[in-house]
Amino acid sequence: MDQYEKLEKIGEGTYGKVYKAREKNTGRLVALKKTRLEMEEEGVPSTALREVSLLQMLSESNHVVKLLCVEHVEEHNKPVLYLVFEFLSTDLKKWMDKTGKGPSNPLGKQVIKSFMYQLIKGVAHCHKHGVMHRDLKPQNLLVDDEVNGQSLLKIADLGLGRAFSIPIKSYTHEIVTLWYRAPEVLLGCTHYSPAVDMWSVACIFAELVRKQALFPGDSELQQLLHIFKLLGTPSEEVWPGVSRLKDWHEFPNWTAQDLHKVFPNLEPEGVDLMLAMFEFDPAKRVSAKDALKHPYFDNLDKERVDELESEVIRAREG
Amino acid sequence: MAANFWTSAHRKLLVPRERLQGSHKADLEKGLSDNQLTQLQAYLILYIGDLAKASQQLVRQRVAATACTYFHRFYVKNNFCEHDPRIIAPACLYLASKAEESQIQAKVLFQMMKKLSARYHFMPILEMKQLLDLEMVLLEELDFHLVVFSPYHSLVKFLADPKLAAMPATTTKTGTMTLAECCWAVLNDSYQTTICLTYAPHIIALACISVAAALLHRDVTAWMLGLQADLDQVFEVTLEITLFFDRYGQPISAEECRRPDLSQGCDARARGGLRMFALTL
Repeated sequence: MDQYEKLEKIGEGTYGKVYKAREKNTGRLVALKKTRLEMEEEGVPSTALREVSLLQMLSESNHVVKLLCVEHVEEHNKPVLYLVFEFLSTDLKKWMDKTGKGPSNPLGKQVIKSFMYQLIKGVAHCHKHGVMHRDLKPQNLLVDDEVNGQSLLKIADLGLGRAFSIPIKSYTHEIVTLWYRAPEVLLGCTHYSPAVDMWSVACIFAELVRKQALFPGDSELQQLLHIFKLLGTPSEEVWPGVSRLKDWHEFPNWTAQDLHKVFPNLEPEGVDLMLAMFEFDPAKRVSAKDALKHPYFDNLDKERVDELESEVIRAREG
Repeated sequence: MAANFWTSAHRKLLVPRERLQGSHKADLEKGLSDNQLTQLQAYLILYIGDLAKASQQLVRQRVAATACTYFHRFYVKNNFCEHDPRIIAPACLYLASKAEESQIQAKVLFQMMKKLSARYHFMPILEMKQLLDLEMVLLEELDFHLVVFSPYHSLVKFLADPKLAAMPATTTKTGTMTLAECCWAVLNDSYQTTICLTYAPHIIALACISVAAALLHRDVTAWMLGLQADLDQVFEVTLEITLFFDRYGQPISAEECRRPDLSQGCDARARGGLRMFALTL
């Protein structure tokens, strides 16, 4: 690890501290994610293993944070694993706070659109490779302001990510941070799909527009109430099978509010895309791939944003 | 395991057969023959499978298959005489259980090893520190490429084809067996060879179907010709599996498919190799 000079601690990851550091011989900035290996217990945490092995598949995209290498060292006679990532200056949460909180400090429409496009591109890349992220939230999206005058967004923190196979076995559902958690997960559905990520994307979209979290629930029940109050309580008609889900109760029968009124600053196409991602039935929820083709992005200079994507992928996908 | 094999590291990691022939140099120099290397390998793969079975459903077949793939990948570059395969094998299973999201605790693994120690009395019981050190060795040797695409997924999809599903079971000396049962047995046993290093999962799945069909006297040629797969490759793999079975026993019968004592039969045949191995160490 002598080749890196630690500069400062920048956060706590899923399984250890994260440092900003400089690679001495190139001057390049990197993020070091430290993983203590509790030798008397179970060795390398499986979240770290999963993050590394998934990033090995995904790092080719510029909208997924790049894993540069893994270093295995001894510190104070204890084995430590460092995941070395490219460094990005901030995350989306901090980036949003920088310009002031709340609806009175809105972001530019084109910035929101560009971020959404990049986010969905990154998610589409993960899904195409059979990986669900399962924990998308502004804190897990890294942002760099310096690229050709555009803000670059990348997906990070794949510790809970999972390569999905079909049929998908049941997972523990205690994973996505409540605010961005899809209703099927909240209702105890054990066979969930990549659609859970699209729900989180919709929540992030709303947060970019409002500069405030849309569903800030602090318990699973309250989280559901937040969702149903805004989007209406789902019936068997809109979501076949919902009343048979494990944690379904009788809820007050709210009707959906008009999102055009809730988001007066968002163009109608944007509201339409948000509704497609807020589809209750996961089977009907729009996929990342289709969301990229939504008319909301028609007036975005996609070519310019695509320039942010890596050479390899641009060459392959034309 | 995951949805897209073609863009994966797994595909880039496939090793052409010619390159496999350069493996185990040091072992050969120490006097182990190719034959003995193959037997040892088969024995240790059986051990991984039996460990998984001893876990009482904690470790599924897919996890064992991933562990076998790690084992084979590890020994493309390493030698038995330098890294004792008897401890690498359980470490592979431990790592695979983490990577496949069905982690077994180390102490459970040790219990499984103890349970098998009567049948596999050549196997040392691992210690905690040893296991965790081996985990790091494995991770570095595998370069953290842990996602393995398994043929089981393809096999299930192929077997769901109505033309295959409709084939009647075959009555053999020891009972009746369906094509599906036989395919699973062939695939499980195929890990004793190194085909998982060289061929794409769907090719291996098709080869298993072709071997199983031959064993059960069913004709799948017409069905296979209707697929858009590289049938030359399927044929190569079919040949490799068949030759392996011919040379190293007949692991496939209805009785053995249910595997009451398959590993005992193999004990005898691998023991010679293992004794040799102990001498070389």
